[in-house]
Amino acid sequence: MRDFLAGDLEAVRVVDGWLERAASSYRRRLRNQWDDVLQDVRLEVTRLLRDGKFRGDSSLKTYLWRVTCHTCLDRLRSRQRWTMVELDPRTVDDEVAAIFERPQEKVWSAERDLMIRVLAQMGDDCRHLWSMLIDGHSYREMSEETGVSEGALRVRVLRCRRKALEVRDDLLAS
Amino acid sequence: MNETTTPTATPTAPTEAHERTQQLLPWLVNGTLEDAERQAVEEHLAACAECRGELAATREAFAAYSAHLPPEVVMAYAEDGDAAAYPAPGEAGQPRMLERQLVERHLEQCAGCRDDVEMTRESLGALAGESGAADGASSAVATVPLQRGGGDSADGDEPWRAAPAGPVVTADSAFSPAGSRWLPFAMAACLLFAVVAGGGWFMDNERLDQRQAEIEALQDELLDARAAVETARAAAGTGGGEAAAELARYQRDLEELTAEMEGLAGQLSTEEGRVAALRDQLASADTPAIQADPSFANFMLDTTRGAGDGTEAAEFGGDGPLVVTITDDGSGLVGEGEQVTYRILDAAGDAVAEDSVTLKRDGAGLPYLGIVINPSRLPSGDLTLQILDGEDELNRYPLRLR
Repeated sequence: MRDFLAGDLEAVRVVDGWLERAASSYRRRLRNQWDDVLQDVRLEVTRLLRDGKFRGDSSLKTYLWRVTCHTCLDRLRSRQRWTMVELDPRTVDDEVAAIFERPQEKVWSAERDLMIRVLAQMGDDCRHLWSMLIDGHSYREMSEETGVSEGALRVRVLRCRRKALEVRDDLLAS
Repeated sequence: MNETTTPTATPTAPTEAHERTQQLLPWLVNGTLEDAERQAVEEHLAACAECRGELAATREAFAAYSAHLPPEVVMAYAEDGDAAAYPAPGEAGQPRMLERQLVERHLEQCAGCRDDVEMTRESLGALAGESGAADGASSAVATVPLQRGGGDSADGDEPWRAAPAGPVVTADSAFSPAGSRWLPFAMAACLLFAVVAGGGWFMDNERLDQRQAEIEALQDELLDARAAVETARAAAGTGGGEAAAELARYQRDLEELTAEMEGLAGQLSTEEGRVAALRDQLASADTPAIQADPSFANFMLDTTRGAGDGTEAAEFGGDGPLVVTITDDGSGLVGEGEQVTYRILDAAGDAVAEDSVTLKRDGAGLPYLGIVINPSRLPSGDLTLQILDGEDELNRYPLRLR
């Protein structure tokens, strides 16, 4: 590590090789973002090592693997986050705008875990309908795909929404 | 007459509007409502507090149904399958656990997270599978006495530390080497690479390794895409318009992948020439190292102060990899999230390295470009760091490597 920070070419080459190998399996999904993510990893590793964040609880190689994987997975997660539409500010007040502006990535990890628990209790039908919603399907497309009338579909989706929030409230109460 | 008609119409209309609005909220959020519907829903929301509450609830449902395993859990599970060790903040500072059973149930239902676990296992295998000189060198680096930080770091600073400590990369890892199932295709990709590179195998350069891996990954994607096209084509033969549309989508994907692969092959050919030149230079030069002169090496560039201002050089700590941070003065070097190209030019003005980087914001919200340059990839002597937006030069900075 000291050699790496001192700019020893062999150490730089070795560490860079580890980072690239660790990140290589994510290349398929990250595609044209991969180089950018790898550059982020290099920056982060340099910063962490320079700041003495590595404490030796594991090997340096293991530590760098964790930094690399975490960075790659985090980028994949940020790509998966659905994008909400913006409301017309002329017709929507601040309260609604605030709902839309709430950054998804600032969800607490406890809340994130809660969402995993909620999802585990939902039936396949609800999961399927909402996965289509998250993928950006209109209700007409969903109606065609599921063979359910548009009106019935909207009611089902609403019911699944209420069910999910009931489960969440039950989990919070328990 | 009015007294008889008004009371019956008034209570009915708002109820219908409520129901209609609440039923359409999910599609308002995912952005697929038609203009007229969207306008009606927004107008109702502006005047109805109850439906604004429903909008918030709809958004929470989106968060629940789009939940994925956090990176820490994916890594812990990929590492040893024991995701129960994943700690999450609980009440009164007590850690809470995401049970293994819950993780596995989620993995059963979520193809994306399964893929993440698989890729992370392949990442482990890739490190475990390295051998020869790399292993020897890795031992040397790993056994250097460890430095400790001046203070405790918050979990948020290093979230990956939450995973259980201990060796990860072991010789008896239960996971297969990376991409073993793609071995035949990888070999085919290697053959393609060898033809394109025209002897580039003998050029020991990381860029070539990188291009090779990119081509292998694209080869995998091409195979997947071709299989998808065949499946969709079969479905289109018996199915309706939806199947035909799906086929068209897959064919577009295939065309994009093919174009990307052809682009990479072209880059590979260019890289070969650069590698040859670099190799000649490296063979004849002394071991290059970043010059300690703070006016050129390890400095923070700042567009507000012009090039070559090395006043903050000490921050980067000596002769390590060249870390260049270019801060924007707020006048807009490029827009946030936009990519720019940086190019290293040699003394003759020829490009010897090139990559792209995305403009980011630091903790204070200030935009910056962060670039790490590996000196082993550069020739010694005077160099120029050139920042481009497309082909338009935004700025250039002098560097020197000796």
